[in-house]
Amino acid sequence: MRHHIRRHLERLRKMERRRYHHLIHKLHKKHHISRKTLFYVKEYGPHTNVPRTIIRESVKILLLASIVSSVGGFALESIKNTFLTLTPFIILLPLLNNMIGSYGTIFSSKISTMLHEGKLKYTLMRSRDLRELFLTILLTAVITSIVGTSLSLSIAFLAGSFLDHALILKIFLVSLVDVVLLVGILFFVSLFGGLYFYKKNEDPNNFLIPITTSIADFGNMMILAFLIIYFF
Amino acid sequence: MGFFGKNFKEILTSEMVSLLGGLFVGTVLAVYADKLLLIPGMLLLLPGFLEMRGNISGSLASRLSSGLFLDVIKINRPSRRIVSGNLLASFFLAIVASLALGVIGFIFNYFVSGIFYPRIIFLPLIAGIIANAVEIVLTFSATFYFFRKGYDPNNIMGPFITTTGDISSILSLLIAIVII
Repeated sequence: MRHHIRRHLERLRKMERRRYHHLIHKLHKKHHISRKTLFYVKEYGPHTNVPRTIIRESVKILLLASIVSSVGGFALESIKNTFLTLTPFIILLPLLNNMIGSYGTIFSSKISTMLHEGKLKYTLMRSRDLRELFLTILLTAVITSIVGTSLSLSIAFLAGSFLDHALILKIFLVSLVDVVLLVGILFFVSLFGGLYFYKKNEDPNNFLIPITTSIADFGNMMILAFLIIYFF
Repeated sequence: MGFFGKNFKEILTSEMVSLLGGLFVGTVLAVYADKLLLIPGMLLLLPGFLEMRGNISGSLASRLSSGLFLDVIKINRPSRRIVSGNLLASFFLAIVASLALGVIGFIFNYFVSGIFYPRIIFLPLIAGIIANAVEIVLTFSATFYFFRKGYDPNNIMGPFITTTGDISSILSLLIAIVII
């Protein structure tokens, strides 16, 4: 049996990448091999120029991500003078970018899986899994934000920055508002974006992750810039 | 599942690990603020530059992991065509993205701030080449290492790349500043 499947996979691998073959459908139905597996086997078969395929498929989204990040950076660049006087925020910026980006990735992949498993078909607002996912990420985000801000403030203090109670409070507030707002935005974007792509018979995984990580980066810098202008 | 179940613990642990990488970068940025952040347009390209490592090496790790799990890439005798193709593509993408960031920074400086500063093009380019030379090799070795040890690289490589990528990016930016 194993040998039989291996022989089919070898046949599939030798096919031209662009050519659709009924063998994919047959292997998927008969042997319950996922379409993703079959896709990978065919995608990087001997008829494929591996680097060209990867570059062609990745370059556009990569350039788009660079442009979106730069637009977010533009907001910070425009308040550079204020930003540079707030050492804890300089320490916090990459930390928040990383953190919020990974929450976007978690939302995207988990919601995509829920959609594939049919858990969100009719019970969108009553879905227990969805509610738990949101609350789990929100709680994690609040905890990591508090830990990250505390560590940033400690490092800034040790480096000789002047910190009074009002400043510490404002920095905690800005960090928490930024994280909570973005977790909410990312959740709704992942949910409704996921539903949209799923209804179009596309795999939401392929679209949601670049979208949410870009929104996370862009949104973090825009919200941070706005909050710094407002509070400082 | 429950709020404090397996998912919560896994997410919190991996976030705490990547938090350390972010903290390291932030501290280096604060220490070298006069050298790094005072460069015109630096804040514009920095987030994209830091994110690039995740985008490129993250996808590389994910493709390699899929190949390893599907047995398309053999752990003891990896297909040279697929592996070298992946490495070559990742490196090329890194150069393109770094160059794009440099050009965006230059355009912003010239048209918005009225500053003619062509070095901003070479800064992310040189730093991108250095950082990716380190990160791509590291990602490749780590993916194979974790897989050989019986771990699922998909669960580990995310925080691993974020943390090591942040460190290699910021150090390579400092090296690039010294070179330029």
